[in-house]
Amino acid sequence: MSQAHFFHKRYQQATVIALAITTAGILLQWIFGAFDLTVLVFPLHAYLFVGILVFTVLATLLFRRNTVVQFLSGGHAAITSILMLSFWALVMGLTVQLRRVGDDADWLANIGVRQMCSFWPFILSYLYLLICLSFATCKRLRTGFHFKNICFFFNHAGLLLLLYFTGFGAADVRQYRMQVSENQTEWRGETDMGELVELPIAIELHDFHMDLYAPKLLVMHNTTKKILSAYMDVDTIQNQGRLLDWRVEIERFLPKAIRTSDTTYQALRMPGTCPAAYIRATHRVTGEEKQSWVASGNHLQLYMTLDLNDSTCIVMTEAEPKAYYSDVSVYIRDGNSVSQCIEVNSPLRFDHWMIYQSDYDKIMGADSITSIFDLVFDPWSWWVYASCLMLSLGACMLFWGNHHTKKNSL
Amino acid sequence: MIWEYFNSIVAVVITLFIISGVLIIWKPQFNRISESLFVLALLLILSFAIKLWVDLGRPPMRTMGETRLWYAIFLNFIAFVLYKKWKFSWLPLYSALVGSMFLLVNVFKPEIQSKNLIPALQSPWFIPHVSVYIISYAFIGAATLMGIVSLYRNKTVAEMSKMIIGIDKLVYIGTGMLLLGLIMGGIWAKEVWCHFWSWDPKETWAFVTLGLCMLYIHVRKTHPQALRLGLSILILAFICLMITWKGVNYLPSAKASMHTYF
Repeated sequence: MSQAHFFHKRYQQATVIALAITTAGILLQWIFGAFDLTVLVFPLHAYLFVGILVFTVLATLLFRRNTVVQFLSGGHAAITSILMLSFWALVMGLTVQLRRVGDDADWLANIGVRQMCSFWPFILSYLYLLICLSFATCKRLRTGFHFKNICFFFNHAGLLLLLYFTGFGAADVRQYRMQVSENQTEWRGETDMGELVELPIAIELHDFHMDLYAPKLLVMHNTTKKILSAYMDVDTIQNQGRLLDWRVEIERFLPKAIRTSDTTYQALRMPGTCPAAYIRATHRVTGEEKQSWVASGNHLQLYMTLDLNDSTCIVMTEAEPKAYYSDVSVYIRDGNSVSQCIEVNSPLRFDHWMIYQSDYDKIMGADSITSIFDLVFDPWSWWVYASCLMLSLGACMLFWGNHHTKKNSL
Repeated sequence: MIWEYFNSIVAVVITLFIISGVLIIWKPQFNRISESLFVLALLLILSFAIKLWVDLGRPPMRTMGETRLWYAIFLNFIAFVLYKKWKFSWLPLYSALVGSMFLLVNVFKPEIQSKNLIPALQSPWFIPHVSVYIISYAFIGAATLMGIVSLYRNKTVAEMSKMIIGIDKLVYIGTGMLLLGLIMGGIWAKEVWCHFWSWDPKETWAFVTLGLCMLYIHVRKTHPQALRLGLSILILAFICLMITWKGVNYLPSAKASMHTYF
């Protein structure tokens, strides 16, 4: 058989398989509706995966000359499986994805494309890629252990395990949102369907803190609210800067201030205060001078601006959060407890649970006495980390070795 | 504020890049001078980036403008190394033109540069994740540049094969770095957003880009004679890379993206 004929035949097989998978997916979508990942909770997805692995190993050992085995472990199947999954990912990237499909959904939502992770053709393409990775890895390992094969193994087996644990392992992941006020203990969490359920974990919030950045000054159009200048930091050390054609000096800055009249502010330490600064703006060409208090305002106080002319003014932005964190005690029903500070990027790990500092009462801002946590139960997270390590080693090994194609094959 | 000097520095850097690139091609007898000018331009723009880092008090990797700056630096650095290794005399000028384009976007579309790093970005993963991705973009960008030239210029078989070998190496390194960047992003996402992967629009496009890079690698391995097909896939991968980096902010699918601060 000539190379061109072989090439052509392999892609005929690949096209038939791709069409079969897509057609099967569309039929399943039509008959059963969206794919529900929760039906594959452990141990079902483990049976499926182990079944694929056992089948692959046996097929590679006993039927290595079989056409189907040779195809699934070859480059043509790899190319088609990558192409299929990338295609569906591309569709996902081009369409707005929805968590839930409402009654006013468009035709794309009705056929399932707007919930791609539950779309049968996507799921079957994902499964096909896992099977191809499995066959390719087994076939390569039969040729022995040397650098190229080790690199191949880390990349392909690492990707196989990562796709399995993050994909099908997600069936066992549970996520809840919990809102807790200071000096209260909460046992209930809210699911993503809005259902309140009692959890095996409780959180007692002792205190919620927030550190803020200094506010900024900028020039804004009065009517359109369009920002016209770069930001100028409220920096009490340098205490001057430039906004467009205006030289701005900060004569006084109060991080926590309360409005005492139409034009004045006073420093005070109590809830409801906002940053305020007394500024002097001088036009660098005309020498025109303007001065006033400016304040960012908050849920209790109006903002204050410095009018530069009929259309523009200097405003003070609200102070942005630098960090926010909660002092908590976490209890589980068997009597164990732990006390810790939970911060963004620093979740609390407790058995297979992770507790995240998710949000706070944004209306109250720094005065918030409510903290919002996300609680995630993920029994497979350490397996995912192990797969990531394996794939990372494979990725690093891509930097070395002779990857170029042999000259005589060009 | 350091950004006030950016336009002047860019004018000098672009001038040095273009002069050195032109001299390398047409006056090889002055290679020492032209290469020194190219390195000087690189050092100048790198110095600006370092001063910006010190001035901001945080890594300048948060805004589009900041990532464009690093991309121009890494792309030209990689192109210069490749030029020294493989003697592609056209490469410094081509990379200088592409890098200059990114710098000029910063000049004509200056962003309002906020100093503040939001809590979600205050992580030890921030610098490695972003920098590995930008470096991978630079490698794949350099490979695509070479691929486009390879597709449209008449070349001898020997020079073509040398270029394809170079493109393959760049894609392998770029893909490896894309993978590392993706893995770091996933581990970081688990620390801050509860899940390793949530098919956020930026993540989805990063997946598509990685898929196309892997497709290139597999097509080159399986069909080494199908050069035009491979290079076409590479160009498509680069287009998806640009969508991942910049275009995703303009897509309707990205309205709810958690990556909107980039």
